[in-house]
Amino acid sequence: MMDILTSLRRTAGAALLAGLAVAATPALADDFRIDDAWKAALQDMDGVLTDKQHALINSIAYHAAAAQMCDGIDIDAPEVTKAVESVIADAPKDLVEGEQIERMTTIILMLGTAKGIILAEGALHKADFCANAVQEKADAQNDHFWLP
Amino acid sequence: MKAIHTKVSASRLLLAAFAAAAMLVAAQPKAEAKISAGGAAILGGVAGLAVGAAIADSQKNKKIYYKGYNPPYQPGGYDPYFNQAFSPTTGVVCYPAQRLCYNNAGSISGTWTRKVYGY
Repeated sequence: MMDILTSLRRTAGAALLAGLAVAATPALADDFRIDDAWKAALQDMDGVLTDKQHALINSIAYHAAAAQMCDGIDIDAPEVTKAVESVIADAPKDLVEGEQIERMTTIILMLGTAKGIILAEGALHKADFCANAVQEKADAQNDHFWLP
Repeated sequence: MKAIHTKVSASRLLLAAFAAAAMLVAAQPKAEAKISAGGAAILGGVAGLAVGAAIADSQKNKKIYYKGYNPPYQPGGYDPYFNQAFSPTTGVVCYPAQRLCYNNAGSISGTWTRKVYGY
């Protein structure tokens, strides 16, 4: 009897561990992510921007791509200008002039590259991509870079 | 050689000025966005130089990091790191290497990207 109980406990423990592992794995339903393009674009850029700056550049790229692809969505150019300038200005303090220019150019390239990949991803499922953008734009609690 | 260095340095300054102007121009009505033909030629040359250098630098020659940058992966370990993901809420998945979140329908979630990375 003890052997059976021990075996059951072990089995239950293993099942619980397996369940936790599955729960820790996100539902990867983002089939339109062009993994290899992102990896090629980003792997040599890691560390140029902080996480926050990098997310902001990605977000601007997303807003620009949606504005270009979707009807009824237009980019808020002054807000984009302000945001990009903030990332460029928030540079490491010890950069010499040439490095500042190099960093700025890299940021602009990152923005353009991200926009290009997001355009390609959006084009794979344009109706859903645009419906999602329209929904995000309509969310009053959501800050965005689109005109009202 | 010094003369060349000075020329490049001056070009970079010029690029910075033009880039700042270009950002402002982008927000202006088209009628106000005027650059002379000579200015456009100079801008094209300088911008081309800087972009060429940046693209070359991206080929594993990058040396500008933000202060305190500490790679979250071992040397040569970017590949498994790149596909690491987490779910901040049901139906959303975020990729730390990409600093971007997607929803389950496959579209980017601007809302969750902002929430997770706090810009």
